[in-house]
Amino acid sequence: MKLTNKILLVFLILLVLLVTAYKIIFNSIVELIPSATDKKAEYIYRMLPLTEMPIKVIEIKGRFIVEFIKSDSVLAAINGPDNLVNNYIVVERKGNKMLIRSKIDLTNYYHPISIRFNMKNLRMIALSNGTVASMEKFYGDSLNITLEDSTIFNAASSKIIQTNITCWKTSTAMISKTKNATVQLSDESNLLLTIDGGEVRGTIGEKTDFGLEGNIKKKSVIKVKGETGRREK
Amino acid sequence: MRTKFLFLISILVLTTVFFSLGCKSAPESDKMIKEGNAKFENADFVGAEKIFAEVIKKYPDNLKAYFKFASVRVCSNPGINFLDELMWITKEKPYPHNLLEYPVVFRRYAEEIIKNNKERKKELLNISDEISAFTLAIKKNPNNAKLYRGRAEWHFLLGDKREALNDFTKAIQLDNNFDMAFLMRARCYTRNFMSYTEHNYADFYESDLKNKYNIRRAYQINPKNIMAQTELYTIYVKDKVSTEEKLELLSKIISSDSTNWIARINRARLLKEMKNNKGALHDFEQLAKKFPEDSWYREQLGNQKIEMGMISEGVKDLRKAQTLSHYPQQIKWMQKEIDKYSKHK
Repeated sequence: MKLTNKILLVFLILLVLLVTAYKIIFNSIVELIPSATDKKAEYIYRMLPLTEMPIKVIEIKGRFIVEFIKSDSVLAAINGPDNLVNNYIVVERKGNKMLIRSKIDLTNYYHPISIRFNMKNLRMIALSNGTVASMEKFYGDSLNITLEDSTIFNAASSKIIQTNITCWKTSTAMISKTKNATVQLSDESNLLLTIDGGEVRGTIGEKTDFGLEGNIKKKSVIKVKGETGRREK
Repeated sequence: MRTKFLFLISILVLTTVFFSLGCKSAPESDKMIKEGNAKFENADFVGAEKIFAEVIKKYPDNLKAYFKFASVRVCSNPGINFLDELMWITKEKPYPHNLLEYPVVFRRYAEEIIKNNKERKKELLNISDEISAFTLAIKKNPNNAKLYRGRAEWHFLLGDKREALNDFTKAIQLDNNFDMAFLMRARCYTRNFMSYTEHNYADFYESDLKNKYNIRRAYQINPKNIMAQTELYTIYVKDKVSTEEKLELLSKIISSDSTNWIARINRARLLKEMKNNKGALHDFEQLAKKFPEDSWYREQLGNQKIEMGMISEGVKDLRKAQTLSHYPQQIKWMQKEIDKYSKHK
């Protein structure tokens, strides 16, 4: 056999090996990601570690359905298809802060992933990447809410003394009720706020929509041209 | 040869005369529509409305004029419900109006029915003409919220959710107190208006919340808007809000607008549920007074009186309701009640 033929043969064998290896690795990745339109899935509950230390700050990034429920017992759980919940949902804890995020874009997934928090108190909620969240009958001294990237937040029948709300990038929020509020609205965001005998102040961008109702003692909200500024990350 | 030439000439003359007579009305109506369009483009809605009304009067078969009139009306009277107005304007027309009777038309469905029907094709072409007219007017008046709302209404009619949403949002951005724009934006978020690509439960949940936001905003801006009042109460019912809160809302609605009879019916039922007989009786009395020819209200009043021990008066009302009713089943049922309480007496 000529040397050139030998080289060609080795090259061909190497090529076949490479293609096979790539196919095996690629397939294993593809198989792990569940199909967005697959309607058959086994739902599981994944309990989250909340009891070790009280959680005061919750940050959620992704298209989840989130529920915050005021309760004396502390409980948090993620509910969704097993493959997604086990492999693609990341839960991180740093002190009294909990971060939940998704490794993949969940927007087109048929199956919803819902997260439920039963807890006594909260200091800060930060939602982004299309989260849809609701909060019911929550009572507290102060709450900071930051919404970003088309998130929706509805706080109904709640009573908070001081609420600080920041909405970015077409987010929508309905907050009822809070005694005092500080608002910052930007980029076509919407906010409907019910004030209960206190004051409201802040800045709103020209493309935003801000609705205010309830018993308002003092209002100092400035509408600015353009945007109200960027959140420091 | 000469006779042939004369024959041809006479045919030519006759054809010209025939066409000129037959098409006499078209150029005039077109001219008037053009004139109206020019006024519309310059945001002179009152002037344009007058012209289009005149076209309809002179040429009642001109469908285009009806659509133009509707477009102008929605701009000159921003408080009106566009779809109701359009149906009212075109109700005398000889064309089939199924497309307009079912305003939330999915594009696919609309296209299917339009395929085999020339008249509907005509309607659709007129709608796209309207959208172009609005676009032209918007170019000249980029800060007019009414024009964006008008264009959005036509997009909504065609089932083009994204375009409708964009225009309603633009109208809201230009005028934060535009209650009808909020209400129609809320309708874009109703479940039967969701597109095929939105199928996740999170999408439904998001739409429900956005629908609620827009209805609440519309009611907050104009508590006298009957559409906003009705839709807000529907949300309260759907959300299983407490009876007290529902009652508070209904009382607020009635005190701001005593002519909202739907709210009064709902309040009467609610008060009855809460065993507040006096309150329920008052509302049923008001309803029976307002609609003296309606058997249902009279029957409810009679039943309420019986429940409160005013048996003879209640039976009297039931007898009156019997005479007003056209439904044998209802008459029979009322007779049973009358017999029961007459014996009781």
